[in-house]
Amino acid sequence: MAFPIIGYRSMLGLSTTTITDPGTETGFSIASLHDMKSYTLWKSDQTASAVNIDIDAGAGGENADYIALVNHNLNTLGATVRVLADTVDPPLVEVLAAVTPDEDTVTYISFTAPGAKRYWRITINHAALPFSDKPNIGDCYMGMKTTMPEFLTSDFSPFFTAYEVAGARSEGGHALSATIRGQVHRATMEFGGPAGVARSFHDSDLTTFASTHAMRRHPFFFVLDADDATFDRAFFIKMTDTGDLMREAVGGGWSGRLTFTMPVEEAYMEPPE
Amino acid sequence: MTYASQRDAFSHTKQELVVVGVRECQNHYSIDWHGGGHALQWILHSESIDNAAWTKTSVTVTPDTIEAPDGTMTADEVAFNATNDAFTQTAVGANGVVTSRAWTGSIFMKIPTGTETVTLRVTNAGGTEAGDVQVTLTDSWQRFFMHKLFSGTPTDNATLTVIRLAGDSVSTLHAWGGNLSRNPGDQDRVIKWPYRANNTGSASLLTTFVSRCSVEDAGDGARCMYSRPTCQDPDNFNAGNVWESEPRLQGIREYRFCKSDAAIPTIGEDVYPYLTGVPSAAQKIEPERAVTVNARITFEFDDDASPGLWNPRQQSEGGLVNTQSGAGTFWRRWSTIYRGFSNPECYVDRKVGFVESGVTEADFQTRGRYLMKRLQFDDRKARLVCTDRLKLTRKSMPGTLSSSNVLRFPMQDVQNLIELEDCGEIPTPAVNAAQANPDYVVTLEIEPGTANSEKVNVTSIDIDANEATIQRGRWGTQARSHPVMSEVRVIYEFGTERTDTSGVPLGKNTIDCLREMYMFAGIDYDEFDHATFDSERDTWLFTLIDPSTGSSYGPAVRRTLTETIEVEKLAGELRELTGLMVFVTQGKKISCRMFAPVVPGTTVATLTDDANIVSGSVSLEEDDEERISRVLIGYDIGDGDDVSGDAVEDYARVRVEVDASAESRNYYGEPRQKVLLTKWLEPTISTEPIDSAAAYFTSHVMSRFRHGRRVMKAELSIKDDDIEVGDPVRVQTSHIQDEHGNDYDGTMYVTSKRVSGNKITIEAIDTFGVLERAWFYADTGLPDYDSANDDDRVTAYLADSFGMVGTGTNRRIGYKAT
Repeated sequence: MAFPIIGYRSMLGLSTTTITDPGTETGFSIASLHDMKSYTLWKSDQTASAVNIDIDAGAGGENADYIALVNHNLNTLGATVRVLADTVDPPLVEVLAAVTPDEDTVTYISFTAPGAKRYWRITINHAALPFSDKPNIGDCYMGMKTTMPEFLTSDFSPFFTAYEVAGARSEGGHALSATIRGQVHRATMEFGGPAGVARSFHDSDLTTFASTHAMRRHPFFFVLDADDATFDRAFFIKMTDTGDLMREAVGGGWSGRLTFTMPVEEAYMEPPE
Repeated sequence: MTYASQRDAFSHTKQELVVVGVRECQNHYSIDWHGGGHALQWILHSESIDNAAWTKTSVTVTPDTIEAPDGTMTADEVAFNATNDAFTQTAVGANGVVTSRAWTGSIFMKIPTGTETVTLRVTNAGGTEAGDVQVTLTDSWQRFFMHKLFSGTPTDNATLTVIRLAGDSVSTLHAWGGNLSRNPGDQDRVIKWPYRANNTGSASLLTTFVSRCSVEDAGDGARCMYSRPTCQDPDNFNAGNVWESEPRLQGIREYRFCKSDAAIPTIGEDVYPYLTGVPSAAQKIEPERAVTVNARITFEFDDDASPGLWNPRQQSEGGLVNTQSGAGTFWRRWSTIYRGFSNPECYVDRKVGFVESGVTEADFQTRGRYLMKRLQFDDRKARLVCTDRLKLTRKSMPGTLSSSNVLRFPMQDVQNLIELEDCGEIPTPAVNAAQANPDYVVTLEIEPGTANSEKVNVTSIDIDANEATIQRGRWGTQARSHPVMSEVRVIYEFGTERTDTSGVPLGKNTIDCLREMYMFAGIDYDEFDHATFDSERDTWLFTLIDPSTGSSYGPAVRRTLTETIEVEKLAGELRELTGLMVFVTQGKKISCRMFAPVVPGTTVATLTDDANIVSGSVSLEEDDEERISRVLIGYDIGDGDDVSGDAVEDYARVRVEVDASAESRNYYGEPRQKVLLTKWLEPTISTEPIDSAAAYFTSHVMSRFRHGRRVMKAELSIKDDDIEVGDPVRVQTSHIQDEHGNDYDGTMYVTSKRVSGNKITIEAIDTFGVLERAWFYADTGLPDYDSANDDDRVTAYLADSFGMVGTGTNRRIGYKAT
């Protein structure tokens, strides 16, 4: 059982980063890859050859230990994702070997952080090119993950999924149909329960997450338990618009621990499985 | 899975796609990339393959054989005889060299029937490097594209070629409209520009640009947004060509939205999940008048901050785009960038479908095309208010000319050009005005009301030359000479011209008249469901009119329109006379339905309490107010539009049909009269019995309103979304019963439909007791009654002397001929 992971940092959206691809399909923009909007797509204009998305993270470089994708077609295409990072351009050192995403909806893949590198390359390839269609991705995050130091409370359903349904019943009494709107992922995440999380972790990691991301309602990737075959799936979620991020003193003081309670909901509604 | 299988699946994820098409300039901003001939269209005599500018290799070209995509008779026929037969043209001039440059070539082609293949090639003149694509030709015009990025080796000029290679099957094709241009930024891809003609023959006249914006880029990023309201060079705004097949080549940019409360359909396109609601006033047919109330629909959207780059297409094609970051939200900026809607070219398409793996936009079913009326903001919502395309019928016809708009010069009786003070006031003729059966006819009357009066049909207008091409001596008049300053007025003739056009015109079928006026109002020919119009016409309002002999059969109408009237009013008069319902189908077509018995062979959906009707949703309305017992029709208005026609006394003939028994005290006990005053039965139909036509219309109106109407309102599940307004449906419900307590099992016509969430609310009018029963000669191939299906049983079998059909358990009331 592994601690929950939050993936919110991404070098792709930084102002110091430059992203290029070998060709963007007419009508699409490479900027859509990192606009946090799963519904605006980056789409390559390539089918015959591998697609290299090159990232120049600037002189200071950036580090990463995960890549996450939402609303893409790489699983359908049978395409692979490979990541390289280096101090030279083009990068030569492989940090993530080619892997095919398990689904087209939300994909989270972790790898060993190589340390800060200026040049990064995401290669989308296929064992037997050409691609059957042009690759597209709604959003892509690549950066350093945040591993929570505490588990969620026991009232959190590990499935974290419900189907929103509208139905109709006939005059004769029969159920006519069920219109499933999609998968909703709604819960209040309470890390560490009433005991909260260590103040030191809060200050080093959660403060930034809370102020620059969660409370701004920016979406992030979430993995409950990377070690569990059932509960290792990724979600693309955000804080609810009306909810509050609760950080309260534990036992009357705040020097040792703070609670960290966050109501969340899906940022990208997946179709039913 | 297909749409149908998803719809019928017990559980599914329903989505809606709303496609908003708005006007977008097809230029690229600024001339910064024009150097090196980038923006030029290099093909000379682009519409004349027979011209010497095109090199022919063993092909035979016959010029101007068929209608081109733009409606002109300028498309050429090209006969291929063997492999490597070709026609080709090489760019002329120093900037036409291919070295390290990318080019896109295109041409429109079709074949007479079937499918054949041919190769489109972009190459250098020497043929050392080439981009080939084998294209499949059909009997419809298609524009084919090919591109080629050349290496640094060849130094000769770019060439566009259509060639029959080994493996191609083409024999005879039609070709028109070749274009060749250098790609901006020499990008290795097809760059599509709206077709641009260049019918000159000299390289020195290479002044046709595929992109013609002349604005100098200031380098500050404050560029236009490729919309008319933001345009900085309005004279060169490029709205494409209406007759091209792709929205972008028609000068349209499409935005796609889906509902925010359901999964996003992954269709390989940006789909904004902003749609929060579709409150709509359902399209509704008023049964008592057969008048269609236009659907008004309001799409409600969430707004979205940081809309980002506004013109990604232009940017990805190498065009300059506005890079000013600014704040603002999607809809606030959208409303400014596209301020004012260019109807009817702009549109909102509503489509419904289901989210599933592999779904494409083609899997979504169209549920309507609408005109945009206004965009409203309320808090953080944007509401786009739309109406269906029948709103175009608010246009008036035939239009008027200013009193000062008279003949500029004397006209001889053989002259086929007319010059007025301002020919721009003449209504635009149909695109096929010069052909045998034009969509509609624009007619002028010269010296009206005089002995020298002449009616002429306008086939084209040249605004620049201020003259119109006309056909002389039409609609029962003869070509005559007219003095300068003669009065001219626009009229509209509903009728059929004799083969000898100086003969007295004949009447015309009412349904054909309806289509004509709708097309005059701006609805394109292709927007009609012509198959249904034709079938309703030929089944229920059949007319046979022979312009050569002058014989005429059936309830035709005839009218000369000299005053300007709203098309919707004219259409309403005809619909009231005939009982025709006109509406926009879910497939975006203008269609019609006679309020008449269901014809054998018609597929009729069945709605039952068990499988379709949602619990607790049925309500009934019995309306006796619309019952009538007598019909009075006034017709033959004499001097036509010189009298108002508002009173019975204005008409020379009156016919009254009375259901005397219905007025007796044994029955309803009171007379109720419906008055129809029509200007559509004019005495000029000298060779056909207008009295018979009047009798036909009165008897049909009488039988339709003889009883009050019963309207059922019910909710259905979304799986029944294919049912449309105007459809007949077979309803089996215990909510309506006969005098013996048997459940209702009869035919109703759907007169209203509204979709809300996963339910559909319909209103349907019961035909029982309203329609006269009718019997039909059975189509060949129909089986014996006992073997027939339910739909055919209720329509196609003649009863025995007991009024029954069938045997045993199949025995039921049939249609008895008396």
